[in-house]
Amino acid sequence: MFASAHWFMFFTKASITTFLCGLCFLTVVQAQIPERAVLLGEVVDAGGLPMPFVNVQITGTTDGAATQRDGRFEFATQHRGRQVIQATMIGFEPAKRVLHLAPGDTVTVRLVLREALIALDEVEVTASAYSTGEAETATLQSLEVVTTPGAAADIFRAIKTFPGVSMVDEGAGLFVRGGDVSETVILLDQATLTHPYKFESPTGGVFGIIPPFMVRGTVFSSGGFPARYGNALSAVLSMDSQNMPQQQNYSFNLGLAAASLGVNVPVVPGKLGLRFTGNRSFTELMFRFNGQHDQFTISPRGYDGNLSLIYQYSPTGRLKFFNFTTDDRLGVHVDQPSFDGVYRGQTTSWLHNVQWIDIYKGWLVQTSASLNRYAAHQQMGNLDLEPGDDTYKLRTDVERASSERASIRFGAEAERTRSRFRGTVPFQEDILDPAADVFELDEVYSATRTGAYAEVEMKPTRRIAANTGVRTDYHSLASTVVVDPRISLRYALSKNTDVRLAWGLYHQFPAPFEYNTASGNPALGPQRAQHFIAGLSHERDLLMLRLEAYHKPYRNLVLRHPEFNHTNGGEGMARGIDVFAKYGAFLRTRFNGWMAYSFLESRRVQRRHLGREVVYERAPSPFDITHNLTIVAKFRLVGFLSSGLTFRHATGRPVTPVVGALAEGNGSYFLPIEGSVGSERLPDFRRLDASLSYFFRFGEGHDITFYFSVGNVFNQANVIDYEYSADYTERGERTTNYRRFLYFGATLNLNR
Amino acid sequence: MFDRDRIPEKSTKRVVFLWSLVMGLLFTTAIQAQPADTLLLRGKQILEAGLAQGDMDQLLTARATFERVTADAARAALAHYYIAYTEYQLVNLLRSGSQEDGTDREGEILVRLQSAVEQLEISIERDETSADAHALLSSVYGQIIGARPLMGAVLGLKSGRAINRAKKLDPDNPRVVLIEAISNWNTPRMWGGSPDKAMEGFERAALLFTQEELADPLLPSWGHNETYAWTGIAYMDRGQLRKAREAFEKALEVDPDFGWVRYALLPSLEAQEAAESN
Repeated sequence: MFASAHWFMFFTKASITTFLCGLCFLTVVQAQIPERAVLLGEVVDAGGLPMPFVNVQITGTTDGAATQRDGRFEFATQHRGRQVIQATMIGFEPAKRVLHLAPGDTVTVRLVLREALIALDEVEVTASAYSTGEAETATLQSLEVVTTPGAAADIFRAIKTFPGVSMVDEGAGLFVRGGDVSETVILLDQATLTHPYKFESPTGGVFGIIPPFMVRGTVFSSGGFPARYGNALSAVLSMDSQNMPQQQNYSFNLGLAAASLGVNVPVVPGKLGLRFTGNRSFTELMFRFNGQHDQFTISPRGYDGNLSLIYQYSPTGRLKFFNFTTDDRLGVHVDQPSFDGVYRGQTTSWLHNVQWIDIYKGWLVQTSASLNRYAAHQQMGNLDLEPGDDTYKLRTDVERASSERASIRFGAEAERTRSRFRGTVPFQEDILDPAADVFELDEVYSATRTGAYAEVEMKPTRRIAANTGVRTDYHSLASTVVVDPRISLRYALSKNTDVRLAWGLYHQFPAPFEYNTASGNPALGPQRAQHFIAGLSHERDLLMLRLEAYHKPYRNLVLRHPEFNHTNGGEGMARGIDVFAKYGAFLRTRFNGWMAYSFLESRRVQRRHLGREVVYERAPSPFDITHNLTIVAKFRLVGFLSSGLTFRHATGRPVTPVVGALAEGNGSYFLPIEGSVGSERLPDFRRLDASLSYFFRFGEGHDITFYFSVGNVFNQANVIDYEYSADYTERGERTTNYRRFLYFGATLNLNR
Repeated sequence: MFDRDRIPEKSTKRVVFLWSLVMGLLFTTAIQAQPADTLLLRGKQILEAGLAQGDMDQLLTARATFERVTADAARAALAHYYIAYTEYQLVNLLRSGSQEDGTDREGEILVRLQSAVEQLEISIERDETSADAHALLSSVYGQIIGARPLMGAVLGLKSGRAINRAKKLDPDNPRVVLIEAISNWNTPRMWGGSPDKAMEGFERAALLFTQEELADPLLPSWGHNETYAWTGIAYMDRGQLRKAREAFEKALEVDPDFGWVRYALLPSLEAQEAAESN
């Protein structure tokens, strides 16, 4: 102890002089080091108010300071010459200033921080886009889709609750902004779904073929969509299938009309995953339970199955093998003026798709090779047809963010469709009497469409984001090249409010069979639409408001013609206003819901039958639904017990009345004499659907959901069409097949 | 013990001169420049002082200080980690309501949590082996789920993966154990939470903190005081008030300035004690 004290004293005495000498020496040395520059100044916001606690720094160095409460800062630096000083704070655009520093300088800088309004990685420049999925920016979360009352856990039906999608009938068909259902293209993992509906009909079908639990997310664009999407006049629904399963999951669902099984297995965690789903639908029990069995001779039934293998071969590279098949059939009694009989339909389709995604030197490359095969059999009276088609598609998309302010995307696709028709079809449209004349068909038509596009997404200023692009397509049967320029602009009025403008040209080629020499026209060209869109959007946490107006002139639409079978003589327009308001989040807030209202005016040149004669009139299109209102409301009652209501009101669709008839075939059947096209409307459509669900978690992450729903609560007998007696002297109303009906079931999820 | 007589005076002077030279150099260099390590240490000090006083201004200053260090490639992973940790603590402070109400507190919480995720992702990209970063990421995901239950389906899996990765990297890291225990405490039973597992975790974390030897003062060192605070909360919940008091007192032994315990938890305990005695 004593010794150590001495040591300390010695150390102190010896060191003081040496330390001071050393310090003097070093000070002299330091004096040789170049003098430093001093930077001082303040950071303010756009309104000139001081910004405290902002990081101010010379980029690429650790030299800097945090601002004080008065927004002022001061620091010294040895760096000289051209330097960039930067102020950064979360929620604000970085403020930068280039300085030229010299030793001994004292530089005063004033930096202005502006609130970050648009970040390119989160921006959806496109107007009229709605999305579903788990992303924070999704319009509807996945759970909201499957719990939408009246949507029957169907993606297409849930999307019908968005504005711009008209309630032409009670099916799942997506009639968008005055366009026909065929003007909406449906994609899954870049592959085209040529027949996306179950129980197909001229208005689409009853459900979409892709079950919601197979889909990770969707983007639905009701207009103004970018150049990456081609061969669609009105809208695009793009879906992404599920990726690698993260854990073992087994799901079982049993409902009144369906049973399903799902298996998700990470075979080699993080490397190889397998997903399987199988679904069997059997509606007979449901219709019997609800006392509505009589209308079907074969109750709608079917199955679908999916097997996917996902191989993550590197941190950035993934191969996804997606295989899907679906089959449905039904038999229904149909009263036609010319024939009173049973319609039988059966449809089978397959989708095989290999998708390859990887990143090469900052370029995201996505490539898909797909085969969509479809086969059907339709039989009623003299109609006995077996249509089918095979669609092969190869598509590549390449994307890169070149900076924080710009990204580019380009790609190409080739799609070959081979359609075949075997059987007999009525010689006179709608004359289904088995004794009436028929065409006998055994035809095969093939067409190839190739397309390419390029898009640039830019953020030239902090308030403006723009997507400009151009695409070109060539069709082998039309032998025509089309070029479609498109542009979307988003101008941020504030952090939560922006204005969107879009314009573009859109072309769609007729289906291959429409080029046939017998009943089609080999000289057909592409159909064209032009989109003009202006909208206002406001989003703030739980609230989303959108208002959009659009104008869509059509040209060169395919029109039936008595001499040439088909021509490009059709034209028309659609214009309207869409309003969308959403509040809350499912399960997060006690109440959540959305309201969609659309006003639409749609006019097209259409045929008017006057016995054997046909004349043309510009009139309301069959999908001119003037007012379309949907209100969805969901309530969390207690714990995980939730209920929901969906109310729909839509103007009845236009119909062309039959005012007389012309006897044909010695009076065995009659040809209608129509009044003005679209001069009458069906009664307004109204429907209320309700649902109740209870979610219960048990064990280590397992859960079970019980659900109960009432469709068409008020048993509304909505009129879906008028039907005539054989001589067209009497008209009756055909009402909905879906009066009040109950549905219930349970879904069990087991996770390991 | 040192013995002056056993040390040759000449060589001693040489040693002292060199020592003085080095110290002088360090001293003047420290005045003149602020290398990454110094900035990190300073940021940690400001952060700790801010947490003790519940002072958001100091936390924001600490964040700005850490942000400067991101320019240093060697310390960038740590800097991003500390920015995320500061965001995490800012969120706690915003939630505690001790700060004056802003115009959009909920919105700021989500922005800060998202920022924390981004910072941790960068940190992990630069140093995948940091158990602390994986564990904190798991906790931040948990906080986002708390704010947005709808995101639970996706982020719950991510949170689970992150904590599992952390445990694999460093199973005896006391902050990893603490974060998992807090998660078990905060998660409802129906979503897989377990107060019993949480208590086991708090006790194990406390033991691990007493055994932790920090080789580098720059590395994360937080959590010892919090562990006792959480232990006390768990005891309070069980009605074991005496044990809760012991735990809070231990927290104050570790960190006498620990504002959360001194000004929030202890008064709450005392109110509960008073209610019981009546």
